[in-house]
Amino acid sequence: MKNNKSISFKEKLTKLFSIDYAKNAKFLILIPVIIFALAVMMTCLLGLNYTTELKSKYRFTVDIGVEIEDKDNSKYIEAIDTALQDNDLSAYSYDKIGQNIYTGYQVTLNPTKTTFTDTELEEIQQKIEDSLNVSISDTIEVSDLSYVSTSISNTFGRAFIVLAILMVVAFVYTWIRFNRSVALGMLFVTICAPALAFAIYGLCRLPFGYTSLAIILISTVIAIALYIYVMDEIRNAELDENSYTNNQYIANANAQVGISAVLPILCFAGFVIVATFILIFAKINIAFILMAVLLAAVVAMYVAMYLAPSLWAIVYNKDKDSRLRSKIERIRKSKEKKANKDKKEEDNDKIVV
Amino acid sequence: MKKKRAIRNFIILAILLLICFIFSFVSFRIPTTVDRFAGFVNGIYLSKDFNGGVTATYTVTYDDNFNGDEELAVSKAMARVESLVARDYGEYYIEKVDSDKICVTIPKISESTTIKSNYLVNFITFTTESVSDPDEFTPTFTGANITEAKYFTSNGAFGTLISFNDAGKQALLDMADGLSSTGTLYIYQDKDYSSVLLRISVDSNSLTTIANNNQIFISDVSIFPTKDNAVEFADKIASGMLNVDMSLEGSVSIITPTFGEGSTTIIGIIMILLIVLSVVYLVFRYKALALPTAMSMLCFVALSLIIMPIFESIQVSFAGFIGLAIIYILTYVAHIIYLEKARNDFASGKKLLASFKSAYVKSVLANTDMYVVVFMLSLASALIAMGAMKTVAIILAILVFPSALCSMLIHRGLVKWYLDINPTKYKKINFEKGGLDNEE
Repeated sequence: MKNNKSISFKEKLTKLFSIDYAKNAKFLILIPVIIFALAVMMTCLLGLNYTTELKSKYRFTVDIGVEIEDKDNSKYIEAIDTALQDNDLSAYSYDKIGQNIYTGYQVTLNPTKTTFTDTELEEIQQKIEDSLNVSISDTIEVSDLSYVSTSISNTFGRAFIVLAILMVVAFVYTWIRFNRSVALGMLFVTICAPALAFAIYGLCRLPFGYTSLAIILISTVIAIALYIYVMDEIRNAELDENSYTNNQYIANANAQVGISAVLPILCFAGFVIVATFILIFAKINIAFILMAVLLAAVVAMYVAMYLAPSLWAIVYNKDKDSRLRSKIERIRKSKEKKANKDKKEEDNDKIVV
Repeated sequence: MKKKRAIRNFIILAILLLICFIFSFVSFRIPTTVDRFAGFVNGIYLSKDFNGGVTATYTVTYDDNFNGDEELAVSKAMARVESLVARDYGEYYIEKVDSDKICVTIPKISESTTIKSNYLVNFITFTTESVSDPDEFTPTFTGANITEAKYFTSNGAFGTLISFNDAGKQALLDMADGLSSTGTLYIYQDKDYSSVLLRISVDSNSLTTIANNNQIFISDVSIFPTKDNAVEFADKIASGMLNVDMSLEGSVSIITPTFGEGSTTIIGIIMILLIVLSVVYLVFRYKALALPTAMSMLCFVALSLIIMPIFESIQVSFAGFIGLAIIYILTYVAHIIYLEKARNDFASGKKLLASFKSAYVKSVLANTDMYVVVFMLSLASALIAMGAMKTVAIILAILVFPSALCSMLIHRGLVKWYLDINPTKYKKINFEKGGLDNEE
């Protein structure tokens, strides 16, 4: 019985992936190019939306003098908040700080375009301290406001080096393991996946911090894994000596990888979306990171299942794949050998009357 | 017989997994000792995001030997501190504060609340004088005279090899001239002459020999009982070459986790939900075959929980948690690749056992390719990248091994056990029969 649910689902999936990859390659490539160009434009105009950890900001400490108990935490934070608001300032974070127990707060202010002079900083510090001395206790001490900046050029530089090494290593490995056409597709994956993952931040204005580089790496890992699975499916279909066109190979492979890998990933993605919506109300910075992970995964799937295979479809010519032919020949010979061996054993077992 | 053995094997594995998960979460005192086993989960190193950090601010100064201004001094000190801190920590913050200070924040690993002194950059002074009045003392051999300082071993002894330039050589020769038969070479740090960093017994001849060699190899089991001691000392001397000094402002403090206290509980719940979701999908898609696959996934989780506390370099931050989720998903996909290939082979007309056999060969090749490339990528990132990228890379690079073990060996074994229990009933595993043969 051939017409059953799962086969028809696979057929539907195959139809979804059945496009002329070679012919539509320029459109498939155009989409990420446009996205990347828009992202570059927005980044040039507005800059990246850096997280506070990468921005320059003011910071100071408030020494309460006694151990901060959980029940008093919100009272202290509220008092500091009020003192800040009276000076037209706002806090990005309150971190409890202390030597062995928490006895104070490290207050990081939201980045501001205003740069204060030393005199202004002293005045602000004094006003905050006076306000807290009145609202909480006269033993509270407020440190000087310090200007904090971070340099990220080293981190970014190393990230580029890593991606460059990956490009070379993945290219060489897939050339040895598969063939040149697959290796060219892999080169495409290792360039496009991180580039598009980076473009997400420029285009969607998601907060860009240290974790973002990890997400770009994750996007590349997912794209590489999916691309390898797609090419492996194509290779298996070729070894079975099917006479498909390149587009058919890709469509069938994508449908198979869609069921095996993409469907579970989409289920997890659904879970992440729910978690993101819940966390938006609780910890918005986590919600943004999860959103970035989702978008990076979508980018990875697009690159691995549409973009890179379309390049493969253009450059690959099965008739010129001598490695494939020799492998098929080897398999055929080994099957013949096995069949002869079985026949011989069968003949030996026959009883001659 | 096979069926009974398979059932018995499943039960034994389930019991082992249960024991492993109990050991993961339960802590207890180890009998006949005073030590406490904290549980595998509690042994996992957490980064600042979840366990808080240790922070301190240092004022940067430089002396006459430094070629540059304050900005350059701070920049060089930051780069040096970062290179040292990055060896031990995946994620940290080295920030410039005002124009002349550096704030160093590192994760609070193993409840340590200090910042190691070898991370810091300090002046280095070599002298044979025991300095009583720093104002009267003019150092002649400083970090400016040192050309290289590195960890070195000789005849199995841990030590530090320090090379110096000709000016340093002349300074040592002058010191040797001033020595009587025996003396001491003092190494001071931070121009703090009240506290000696290291003292070495020398005499005029040995100091002259050292000077003429332009090198000194310091090695003694009493000075450097372990390799770490020698490496730390080498770091301090090498940092002294910058002619920049960092002095602590205030005190070293502990700081709360970035995501607030209780965030580890949320992360734990999310991971458990992820595992439950994956099992639900398996049951929905493969019915009875969900058992061996879920057990294989749980083996991966158990192995990960055992392995992670072993490596101090695995410091789980939020990025690290995403890395854990990704390697879990990759392992999951590797399992499903095998099952789907078996399903396809069965649908194309092969017998059930034969389809699992042929699917295994095909899936091993595909999964090996995936694991090899992911490992190479993560290894390169772990060695070169910094920050969150490095954290994720280390997790992927280490956990790729249990992932491959579970998806390519353990899963296959468990599926074989299942097939010993049910070698023909394909409807129980939600497979669809292709071809004309009907095995039932």
